[in-house]
Amino acid sequence: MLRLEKVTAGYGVLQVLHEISLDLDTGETRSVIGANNSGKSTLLKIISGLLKPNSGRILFDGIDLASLPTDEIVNQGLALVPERRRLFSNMTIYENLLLGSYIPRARERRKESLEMVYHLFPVLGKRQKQIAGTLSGGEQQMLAIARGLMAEPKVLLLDEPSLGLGPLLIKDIFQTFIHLNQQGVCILLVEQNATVALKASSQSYVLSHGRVMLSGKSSELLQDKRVEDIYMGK
Amino acid sequence: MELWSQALLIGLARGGIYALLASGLTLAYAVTKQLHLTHGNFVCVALYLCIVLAGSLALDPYISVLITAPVLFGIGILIYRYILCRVMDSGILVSFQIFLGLIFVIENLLLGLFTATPRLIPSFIVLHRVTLGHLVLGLPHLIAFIAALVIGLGFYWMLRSTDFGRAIRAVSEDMETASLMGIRVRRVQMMVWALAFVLIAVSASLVAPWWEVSPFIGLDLTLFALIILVIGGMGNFVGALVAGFAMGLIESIAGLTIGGTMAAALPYIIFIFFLFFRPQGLFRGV
Repeated sequence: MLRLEKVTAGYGVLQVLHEISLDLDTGETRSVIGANNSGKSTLLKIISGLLKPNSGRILFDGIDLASLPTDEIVNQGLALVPERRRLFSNMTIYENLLLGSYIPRARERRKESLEMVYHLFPVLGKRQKQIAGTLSGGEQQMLAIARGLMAEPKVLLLDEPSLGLGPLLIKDIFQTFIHLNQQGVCILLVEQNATVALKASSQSYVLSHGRVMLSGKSSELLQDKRVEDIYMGK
Repeated sequence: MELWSQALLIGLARGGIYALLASGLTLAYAVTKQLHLTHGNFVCVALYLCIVLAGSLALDPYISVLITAPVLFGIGILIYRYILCRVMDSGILVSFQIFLGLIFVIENLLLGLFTATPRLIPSFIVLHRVTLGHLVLGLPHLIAFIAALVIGLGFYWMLRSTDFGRAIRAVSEDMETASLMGIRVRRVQMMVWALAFVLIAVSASLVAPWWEVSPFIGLDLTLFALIILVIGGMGNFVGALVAGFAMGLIESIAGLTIGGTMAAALPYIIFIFFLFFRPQGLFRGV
């Protein structure tokens, strides 16, 4: 469904990603893990079109995303839940969700989508009029995920969803991902927290210095000593 | 009593015009973080368009707005696409330079075409008065006040309750995340600039019967709109409306009580006061 072929990217002369190749099949959850500055966020920027690759191809249902602007990539069915949520903090929960379903395709099914995310995160439904900036960290993360789901994406891209959350909340949120995946949403999860990411995904890629150092079944990587070594920079 | 009610109405009318100009300026700023320094000059352009249309086709300014508004809309799009869009990423100083240059181009073009003689635009309603009980009010002022209020509230509704309005607010808060929502940021920016130009055309037609136009009133208007934009809070629509109306009222009340010279300085004194004690302005956000 989503396939990266030897993608190279960076900022100006600074090369961040080196020939990254990656696959995501329909119905799957895969994760990309790695320490700080390993290029994880850049990878999602590349997929969502916020940054253009220097070379390589990003194929989504056979279409090369590299030449498309961000808004068109969203239209194709990829939604990014950005790092640190990036909510519209002056707007209400409800308005944030409506913005999530801005693209015409999603606008038509707005009512159903709202029901779906309110069912998933009841707290959002109860506080529709609350300003997003006044929510707690966990609630903000729920809203960010809900906003992403409002676009009715085929693939949900998650950037560090565990960031700033306590262990219990992390468990809840990741339970939601597993639930969503069972509903048929395909997820690419980018995480620094390796353990939770590996537990929530079927296959994983371990990134370091902009290269895929290791990849394979998440359950196997969970036992693999090499993952820790890569994290430590050995 | 009659003097006061007249002054208040003129204040509200002027305030309404300030509000329309400043709210266009503030929205244009909100979505691009660029200041449109020829805002007032295009009021001049629209007014001279009214003069030309009155002279050649005998159109009243209240009718010729149907022509000037689309023309200014088009100019707004051209300015965005061929000037602003190209320099937007190079920081605010580049666009500043360009607009400063454009001020002189417009002023001198108008000077060459129409000379420096101040003119009034004839309108069939200019001498009409509305009598409310024993109050006598000037009709053009009443129209300007009501029109500004209605348009202001209409824009407010649009910003709050439509997808386009929410997109404008999203772009002004965070362009990158807005694009992640599927919003075509550049298109929203272009439409907002074009709408700000429509507000310019509407303001021009509303003041045409009671403001003398010369090629040089543009910069003053821009400065005034900028002051109101800062007082209302940079990029805040409601702030620009409130501060605009307030400024018009203050001006005209001050004219009655402390006299013309001081009254002219008062807006700037208030401005400095705000810069000292509340530099973020009345409101925040959009």
